[in-house]
Amino acid sequence: MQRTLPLPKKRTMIIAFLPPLLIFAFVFIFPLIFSLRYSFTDWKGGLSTQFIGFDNYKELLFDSNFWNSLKNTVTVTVLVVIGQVGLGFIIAVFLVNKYVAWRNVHRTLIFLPVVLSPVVVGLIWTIVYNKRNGFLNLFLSNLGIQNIPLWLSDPSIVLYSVSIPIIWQFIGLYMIMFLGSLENIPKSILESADIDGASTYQRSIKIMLPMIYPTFKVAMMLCISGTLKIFDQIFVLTGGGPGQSSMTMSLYNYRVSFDMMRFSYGSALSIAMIIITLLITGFSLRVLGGKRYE
Amino acid sequence: MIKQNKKTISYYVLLVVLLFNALVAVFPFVYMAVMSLTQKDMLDLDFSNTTFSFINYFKVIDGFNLLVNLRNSIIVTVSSCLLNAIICSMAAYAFAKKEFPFRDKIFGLYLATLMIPGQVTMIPVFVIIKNLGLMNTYPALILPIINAFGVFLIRQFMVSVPDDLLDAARIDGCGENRIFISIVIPLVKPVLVSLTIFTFITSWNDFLWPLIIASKPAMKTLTLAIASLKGSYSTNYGLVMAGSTFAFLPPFILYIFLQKQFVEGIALSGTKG
Repeated sequence: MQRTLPLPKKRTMIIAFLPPLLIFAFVFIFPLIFSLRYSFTDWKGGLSTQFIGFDNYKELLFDSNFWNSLKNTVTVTVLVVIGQVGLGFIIAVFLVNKYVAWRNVHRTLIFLPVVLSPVVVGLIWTIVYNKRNGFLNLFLSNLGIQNIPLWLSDPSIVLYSVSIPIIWQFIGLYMIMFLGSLENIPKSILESADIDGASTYQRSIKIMLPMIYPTFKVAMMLCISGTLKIFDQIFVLTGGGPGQSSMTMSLYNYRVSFDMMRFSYGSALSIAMIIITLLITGFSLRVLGGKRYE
Repeated sequence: MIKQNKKTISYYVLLVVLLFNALVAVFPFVYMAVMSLTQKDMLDLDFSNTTFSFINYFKVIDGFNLLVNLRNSIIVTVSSCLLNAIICSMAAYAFAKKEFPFRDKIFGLYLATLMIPGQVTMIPVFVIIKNLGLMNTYPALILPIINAFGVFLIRQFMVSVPDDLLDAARIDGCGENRIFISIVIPLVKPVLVSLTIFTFITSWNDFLWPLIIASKPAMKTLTLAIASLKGSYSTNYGLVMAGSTFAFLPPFILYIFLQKQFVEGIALSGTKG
């Protein structure tokens, strides 16, 4: 960069930088250091604090609830990534066609859930799933289906039940992202595919997907890192229950820190969460980053 | 696929599939709104013997003081939108157009914080807020909304503002403040709008942080307040749905009016990210 501008006055620089830096330090840097420090103590919110070395981390290694929550989080993330990015892409491929009527109406309606509160979404789906007289069960029993599962109280399916509202809420987000890049694919490429007799499936998977691969990658990473910290919907829908069967990492961390007030162990959990999140996102980036399409 | 101007069968199949999608996206909200107007305890779609009324709304708003929560939500959301726009654009201006030692390194540090998930900083920020005696106050609800994402987003736009333009203003005798307010800000207005919409959604829908920091009912935000309806009225679906509809309306109305900006804001953060 060439130096065409004079260096600003010291005073200007301080005025411009002090407020953001202060807030920044206050909200991010100190907390991170504190978090590390708490994780080596036995602090429970009171006055007495003792340094206990790696005891919290040892406890964590043998905490079956934590490993269970990790397993649940990964399961939900896999389901949600497949659902959101997959369905988002399919709908975008449908919608990119110029001759579809009311494109804006579809777009507006499918995007609507994205802007709304996950709490509202959780409340609505609690009622949809309600076991005695919820809409879904009444609908299914009217179709003559017997043995309707207990959506939110059966430990073997609860993870699937809580994933559906999450998927449903954010399909629109990925649809919009894909739609934006699909519209930029030159018409000539798609036309020549048509002339060569490509089927709709070939057109979407072999031409459109590689053409928008950078967006696809961003969408996958956004979706993975977002779902790894999923909290609101599951808190409202099941609160992690029944038992521990829909407990995710964030929920477990919340329970340990703010229900049991074990701040020190909660901090150790947070540090473990960062490391796990970094490992998972790093691994995904590696898998996605291959130059397969370039 | 569909050939130009030719409405084949596949065209109608496609349309039906898409309409079905749109229906699935909207149906739960319609269901919510309709249920909020009834006193039914069966949650089906048979409305032959039901009377519709707004009584659930009066009950839930009076019984739970939701107007106080609405006021809290408005105060928190508006202040965090303003604060985020002001602070982020100032920092972004410095990063984009000022030269100073370690600029790019500091910016790198800024960006690195985007990698830190909120849950990690949750406990320490809670402790800081508590020690400052800010529990159950507006600043505690507002401050953590500000983050480096806005700085990053706006800086990307400010970099493309030509230096010549700023130099020309300087030659004309324009001061630094004036350059910032009258030249730079208008040029990046679209991205400021996107950021504000983003902040609005984050702040209005935020649940975990208010849950920790606002324990007094009078300080709860609307989103937090309606989440507790589920426990209190677990069988009175009409009331829970009335509360949900009440919290659903403000973002919904804004979305209807600012649809284009909402969608653009999302697309922008997606493709730039």
